[in-house]
Amino acid sequence: MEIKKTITDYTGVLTLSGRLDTVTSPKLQEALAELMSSSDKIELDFSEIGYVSSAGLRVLLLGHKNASASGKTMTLKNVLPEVMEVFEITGFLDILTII
Amino acid sequence: MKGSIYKKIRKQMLFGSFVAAAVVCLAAVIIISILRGSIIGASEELGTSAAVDSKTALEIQMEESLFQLAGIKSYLIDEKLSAAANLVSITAHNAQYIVSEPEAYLPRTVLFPNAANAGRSVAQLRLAQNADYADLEAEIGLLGNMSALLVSGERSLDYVRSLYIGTESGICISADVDSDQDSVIFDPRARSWYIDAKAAGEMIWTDVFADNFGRGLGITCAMPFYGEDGSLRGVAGAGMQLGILAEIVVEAKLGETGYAFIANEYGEIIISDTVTVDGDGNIISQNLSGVFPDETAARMMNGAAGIERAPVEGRECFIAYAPLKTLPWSLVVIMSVDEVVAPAIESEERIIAMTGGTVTGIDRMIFIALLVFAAALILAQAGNSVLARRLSSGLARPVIQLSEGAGIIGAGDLEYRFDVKTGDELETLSDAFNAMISNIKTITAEKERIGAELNVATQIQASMLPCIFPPFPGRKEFDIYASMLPAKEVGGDFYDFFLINESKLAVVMADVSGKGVPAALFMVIAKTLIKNNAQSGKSPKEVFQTVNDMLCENNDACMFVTAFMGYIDLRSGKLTYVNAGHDPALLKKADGEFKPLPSKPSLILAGFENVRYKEEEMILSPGDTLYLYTDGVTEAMNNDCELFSTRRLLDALNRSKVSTAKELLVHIKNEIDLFADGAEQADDITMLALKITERMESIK
Repeated sequence: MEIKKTITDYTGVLTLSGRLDTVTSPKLQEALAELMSSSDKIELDFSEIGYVSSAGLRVLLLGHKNASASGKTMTLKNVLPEVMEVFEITGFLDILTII
Repeated sequence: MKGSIYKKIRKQMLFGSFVAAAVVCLAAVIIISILRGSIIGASEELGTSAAVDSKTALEIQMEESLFQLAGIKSYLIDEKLSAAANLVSITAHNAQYIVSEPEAYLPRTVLFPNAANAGRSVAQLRLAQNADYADLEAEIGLLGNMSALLVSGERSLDYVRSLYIGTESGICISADVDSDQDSVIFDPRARSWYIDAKAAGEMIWTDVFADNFGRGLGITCAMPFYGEDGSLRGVAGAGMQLGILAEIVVEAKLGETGYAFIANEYGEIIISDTVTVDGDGNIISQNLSGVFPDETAARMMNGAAGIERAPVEGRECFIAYAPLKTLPWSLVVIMSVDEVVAPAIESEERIIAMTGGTVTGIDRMIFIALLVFAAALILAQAGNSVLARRLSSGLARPVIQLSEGAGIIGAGDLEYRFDVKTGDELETLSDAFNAMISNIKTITAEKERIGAELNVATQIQASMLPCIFPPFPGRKEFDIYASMLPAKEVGGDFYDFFLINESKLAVVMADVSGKGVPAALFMVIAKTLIKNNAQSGKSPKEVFQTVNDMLCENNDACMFVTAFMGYIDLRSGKLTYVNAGHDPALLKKADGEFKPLPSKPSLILAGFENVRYKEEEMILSPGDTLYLYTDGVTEAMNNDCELFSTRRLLDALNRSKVSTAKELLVHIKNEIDLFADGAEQADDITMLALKITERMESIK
């Protein structure tokens, strides 16, 4: 999985591509933790993420919780249907802010 | 492969030393050549200049010697001639005295030549043809007093053959040794010496002539004597044999080509060992002009002394000449320049030969030096070869040792230790290797320990899942089978089924986020909590709500669980189920196909506290089959990274013609394997199948 980081004003955008699974999710966890200390608004561009495993969900959940705890926002955008299905099944749709 | 470093080093060393040696050789050859050139040049120059110097020195010395020789010889001849001249002068004066004082002398007899006296110098009387002894007796008697003087005079000089007086009256008294040959009749007045002296009125020297008695060339010195009245009374003379003088001239022959002669004022050679006479006794004189350069001859005839270099008879010669005092003659010494300088040429040749020898010697030495060089080179190369072999094998050995050791370690022998004691970087490398192996051993041991523990954990996890089939041997209402195939180590999937009471069966399918020990631990907790809560009589919804809240406590790692749980009332066939973010269960009605069990998605367990879960219901009839699974099934991948997917799963399930739950799971597993085509299993594959066979009878 590739992670591209762009920071504008107070918004940090991570553009992801590939699979978010057991192997790659620690990278996202690290990137999120780093971004969390500098940006108030975090956007995750999921336009090129085709698969999210439970480990990936865990990182998203962690990010969401950390953001909420520190009064920041984490938003997912451009989520593909197959990934959206996973979010739907797992109930993440109700938790995550997806636009 | 092995020994290539060794070969490389050796090759490089040999090449390096060879290049160095070649450069040294080349330099040596160049230097030697330059040296050779300058030595030969110097040697030749030295030799040539020495030869020229010695030649010049010899020539100068020879010129001086020849000049001196000419002087000495002319002096010697002068001495002899003037001695003879003195003798003649004394004889003439004595005769003049006697004839002037006749009364003072008694007559003294002089005999005619007597052959018996031959060989003995005696005075002998000879008379002219027409002279009358009787008329001349008184005068003969007077002049007879000259006998003692004449004889002693003749004997005093060995080259004087005769000493005599001749008178106007025709008397001749002579002292000589030729008594046997002298004729009695002899007219002195007719002789040239007499005529010349009479005419000259003073001492004269005759031309050179042939001796009367065949004793070679002669010359006569004559001097007139007079009476008191001043009239000519006679002439005194001495006959000299030039042969004896010639001996002086030609004695001690000058080398091979040198010779001496006396030339007269006319430029005629008159005394030499080669002068000959004709039948008349005349000298066949050789004229100098034909032999000498004219200027030289002229200078000579003018009475000059000198030494010159001029061609004589076609040969370059030294010509030394010195005049006589008594006669207008010159003594000439001639010697070929070649002969004079022969020693110089010889020494020049010797020097040049020596120089040549030097060159040859130098060349030989250079050759020997080059040979020695070549030998040294070969020896050095051989030595180098040995050194290179030693050095390179010395360098290569530890490398080979390290390489072999690495192979041994690679094969798994972590007890192996390198023993390289070269004291250089290789030893450091070897020590580093040893330290590394030590670390690897420690790490490996640690990993093995962890591995062993994980194994235990896996076994514990596996043993926690119901794995004895059939689990409820007495129950005929349902057929249940489940399996979990962990991807690696311990996984986060789990299934469970248990009887809550006699008529209520619970089935659980769950997946903990992540893998490994944390997931396994979380799974144990979740499984235990679910089962405990379910068995305490709570409805599925209540169980999940309780478990969710409990799991949310102290869940800093944000682990979560997706789970499906259903209760089946074995009597009524009612399935009450709740889904916490899990893949929907698939249900096949007895006469239909597998379809997802409708369920409203709810949030995963352990995500947030106080989540309300929703229960749903469905009636199961005998023949219906419920299939539960985790995403390990639908997300199994093949080598093209394609997912097995829910669609393929449904197809596989619906294609199945099997009857039992176990067979169904085996069939699906085979289908997945077929699809994966050897690709590594990425996630746990966990499945559970429940087939309702009949309704439990109501309580009787």
